[in-house]
Amino acid sequence: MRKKSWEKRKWLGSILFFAVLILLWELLFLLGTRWLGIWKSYAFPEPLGVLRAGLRMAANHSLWYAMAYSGLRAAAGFGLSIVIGVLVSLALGSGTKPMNYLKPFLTGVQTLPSVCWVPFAILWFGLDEKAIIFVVVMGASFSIALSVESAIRNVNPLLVRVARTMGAEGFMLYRRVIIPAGMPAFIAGLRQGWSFAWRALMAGEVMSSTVGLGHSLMMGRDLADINQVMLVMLLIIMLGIFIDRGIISQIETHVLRKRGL
Amino acid sequence: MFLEIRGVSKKFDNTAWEAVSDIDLTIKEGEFICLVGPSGCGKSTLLNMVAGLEMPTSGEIYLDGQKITAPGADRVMMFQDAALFPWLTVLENVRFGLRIMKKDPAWIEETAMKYLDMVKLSKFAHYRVHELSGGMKQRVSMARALAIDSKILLMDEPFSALDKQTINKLRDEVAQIWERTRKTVIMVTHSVEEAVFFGDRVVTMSAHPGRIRDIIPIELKRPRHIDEIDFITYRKAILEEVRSEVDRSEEEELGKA
Repeated sequence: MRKKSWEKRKWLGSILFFAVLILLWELLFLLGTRWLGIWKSYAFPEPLGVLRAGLRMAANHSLWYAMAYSGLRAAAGFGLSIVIGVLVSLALGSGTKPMNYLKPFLTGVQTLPSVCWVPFAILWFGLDEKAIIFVVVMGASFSIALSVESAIRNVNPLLVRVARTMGAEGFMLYRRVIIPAGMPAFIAGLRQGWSFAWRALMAGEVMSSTVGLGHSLMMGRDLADINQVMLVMLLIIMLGIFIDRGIISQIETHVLRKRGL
Repeated sequence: MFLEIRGVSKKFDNTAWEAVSDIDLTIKEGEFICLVGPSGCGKSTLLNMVAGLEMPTSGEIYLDGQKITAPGADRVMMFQDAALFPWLTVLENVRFGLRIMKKDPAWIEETAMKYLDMVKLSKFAHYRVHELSGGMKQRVSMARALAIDSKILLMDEPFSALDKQTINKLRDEVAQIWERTRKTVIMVTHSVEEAVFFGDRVVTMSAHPGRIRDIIPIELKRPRHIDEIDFITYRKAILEEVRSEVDRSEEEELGKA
């Protein structure tokens, strides 16, 4: 009971916070453009204008297409990054000599902002889907590989020993011990991988000219419609948070709760 | 002989002496053997070699005529830490080894419950590991090990992470369970009292290098009681032996530093 009312208060609090924020934003807009006239109204977004842009884009369906295309690319790119990341992590974990050098190399590649892969991708694939997916994969898969490798490396060795004396070896050891034991760290790695993938996707979409949220952002610029730009930016934030908080973090909570963490 | 340790030595790269040096020991089926000695005497290393988790530098170990080359379910090991799998329930932990063996699910369920019952935890079958106390965890670990019905059970200081009250209670129960199952056991312990309480024979070891110093048969009837005069006599004699070894190895370690 008490916990419920506390959670309700928290909800109310955050709604109030955003309401006040939007109100202040509107006031700032009115102050700067109408009353003082120091800003041009096309250069400063306003909440009502963002709402209008949203309704317009929803009515002509461009909003839905942009979200659907970006969503599909995100799913394909992130999915592919997970597969590649896991495969690379297994290679990293194999303990063979060249792999010892591969790890610092990947850590180095990982520091390259993913937008820097865009020119390379365009030269290689042309302005097409493959180029964008490539940028996403380059942005996310090494981060996933490195975190999966560390998830496996940090599995409590005692659990592995205990399982081996009970007859678990090879594939069985992975399936029954190493994978479930490394699961919390793996999911934490996926969360980080997702944030890399989402950023990379937007970088790719901004630079290319296919339908998607990044492209809608550039369309807003071309039309000098700052409200559309603002709307799409807010959507990008919200979708990114939704996948992280609404999906990955829910799985994480479930996995951790089982272990009493 | 059931378990034969023949001329086994083990040297780790980072030490000057052999952790285990030229050990011969034979163990009969159904025997309870306790290894005691100062830290660094190689008692845990010896146990790990029987488990197949470590390989001897020289010498061989045979179980039932088969040379030990790798870990296997015929030599289950219990550790100081219960080492339960935190993502599984109590029952699922006990089922673990049986599922590896790919037995019939109904039989697995029945067997797992039987052993949980034996350690008096059947009411907690569906609890999560983090909901258990330290003593309960070690009981689950015991049930998990016993359920496999290995040829030999290896115990590496199974009680030393628990508090005194829990230890006393658990010792009595383990003794009862052992009398029922009569499984061959090798237990490493630093407690002489524990060694005399459980052992058919107590093997004392000395450190640097790790050697067998003495093998003492304990001719006390079971169930044993730690306050009986004969028990105290055994305990005192072995304690003195171990203490002189501890002193000697400490002197060596300090002298070396």
